Amino acid sequence: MENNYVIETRGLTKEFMGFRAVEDINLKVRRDTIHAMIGPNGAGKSTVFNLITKFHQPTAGQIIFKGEDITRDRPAALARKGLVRSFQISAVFPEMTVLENVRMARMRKEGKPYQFWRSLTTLHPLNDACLELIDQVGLSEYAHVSAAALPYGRKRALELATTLALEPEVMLLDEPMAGLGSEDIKRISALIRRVAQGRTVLMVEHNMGVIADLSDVISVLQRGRVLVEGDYETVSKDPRVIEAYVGTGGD
Amino acid sequence: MMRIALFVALVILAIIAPFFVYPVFLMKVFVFALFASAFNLLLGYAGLLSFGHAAFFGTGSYITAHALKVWGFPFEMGLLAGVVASTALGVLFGLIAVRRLGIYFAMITLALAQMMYFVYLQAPFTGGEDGIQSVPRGTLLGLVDLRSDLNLYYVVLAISLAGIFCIYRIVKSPFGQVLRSIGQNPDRSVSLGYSISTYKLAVYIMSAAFSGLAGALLVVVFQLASLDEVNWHMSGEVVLMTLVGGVGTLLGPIVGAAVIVTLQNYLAEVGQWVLVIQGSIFVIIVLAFRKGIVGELSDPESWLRTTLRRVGMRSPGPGPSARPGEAVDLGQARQPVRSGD
Repeated sequence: MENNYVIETRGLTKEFMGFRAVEDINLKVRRDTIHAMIGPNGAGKSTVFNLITKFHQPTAGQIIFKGEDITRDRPAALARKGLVRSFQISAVFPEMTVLENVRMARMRKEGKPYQFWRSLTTLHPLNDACLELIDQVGLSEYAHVSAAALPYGRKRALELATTLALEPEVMLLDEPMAGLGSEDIKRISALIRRVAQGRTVLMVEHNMGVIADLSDVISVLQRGRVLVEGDYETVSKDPRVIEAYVGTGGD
Repeated sequence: MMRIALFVALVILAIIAPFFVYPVFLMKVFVFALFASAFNLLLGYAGLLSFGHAAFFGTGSYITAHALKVWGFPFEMGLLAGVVASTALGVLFGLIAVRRLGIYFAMITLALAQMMYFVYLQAPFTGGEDGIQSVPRGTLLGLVDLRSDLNLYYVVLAISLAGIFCIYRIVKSPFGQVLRSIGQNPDRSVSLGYSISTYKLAVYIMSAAFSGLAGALLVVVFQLASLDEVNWHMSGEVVLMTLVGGVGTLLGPIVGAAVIVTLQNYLAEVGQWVLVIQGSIFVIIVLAFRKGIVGELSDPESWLRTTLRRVGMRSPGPGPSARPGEAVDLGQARQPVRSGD
């Protein structure tokens, strides 16, 4: 049973100057599922996210990734182990082309980045694999456009392609739909569903339609604690969840 | 491709130039072009604003001067001594500074450089306010007499160009690509698995080494190492040169160095006014050439449009800006989440 969980947190707690943003979170993310974290604003979702990806250090508790304690790892080391995150606002390299963006991920994986004496043509063998990923997210025609020139929805698609280029075991998506229009949401949703095949996805998201559509398991957070956990049916009918949302004026 | 053609043309121009222009002045331009290019490697690509590069420049100068004059090193070994010393200093300062972000990085590099200023002011071998004077130039490989300005000119030209070429290769390498990614969005680089502190340290040391080489060359040209090279003015000047020419471009720092050195030399007779003129130019650059001379001229259409808009005239082009969303993205690249690595 233990092996079925890719990420586990044990008693995860984070204090910011005396304020407990997150308290005693025991999260278990099952392999090859899409696990969503929801909750009202300020519930601690993003903090949990930043703790798991090591962008913040926990005050107490443990984080286990595939049975290994990663509580003291550095974020870059974590990415190299196969746990890759995205960001709430689009995170691309604006002055690079779409292809160069994706290649940034690929070349790290291929172990080339320290070569300061080689020409950039050493990276050309990586282009095909990158272009294939770019095609998968529907950005083929933009491959040589600088990322800054892309519309917002396309930037999010580019981010996914870049993340995928690392072939991560676990993808952590921080509000992948934030700021997107309904057309883009449909497209990115389908994309996430497709790339989640054979992968574990943990995401924070506000859009309930997306949550209902994509997630296998939902953890509802409130005031830094896990309130309820289960599938959409269970969670959406739970009176505590309804109260949490209505009680804080909805979300 | 056009840029390479332009570069070749400039090199040819440089080869015939000493027959028309005072070679010592030209050598000074090359030395500062190399220094600014080394600085640009750090600011223009990794996005690190060092305000203490005089420390490396000055260390290159003092150590080379001492090696040539007191230890009697030959020319090549003298330069090497300067470069090794500034590289070592780069390792030391880099370990302290590279984990700091933004303004804190600038402040700590300034502080460290000021420390070095006082070291060189007090150290017995530097001659204090007098500096190290009448440093012998020596010979190249024991063959070419460098006391001749013309001979020295070609040696300095070759070494500066070689240095700038190395910097160009670093920028256009997989490593350079990582630097650019760190400059544009450090958190994303981390999330892709890059240990960014390591890359920052590596480029900081490289930048220190090339700055030291520039300082070493300056000593050979003027046969003098003085406190001017380690003064914080020098750190500011290299920032100015890079910004005036165009940060993050290959030719920018070279053009910037040429502009600033020319101003200083040919306006020397107006005395203190040179600073006023330099300041005015800097203001104009900031207002009208935000990406520097080379940065803007590489895209003149967009420059004309944004400049007209800035002075309040209607844009003649179809869109409001050549590249919409650019400004927004630079802002987004600096995210609130920060990490040590």
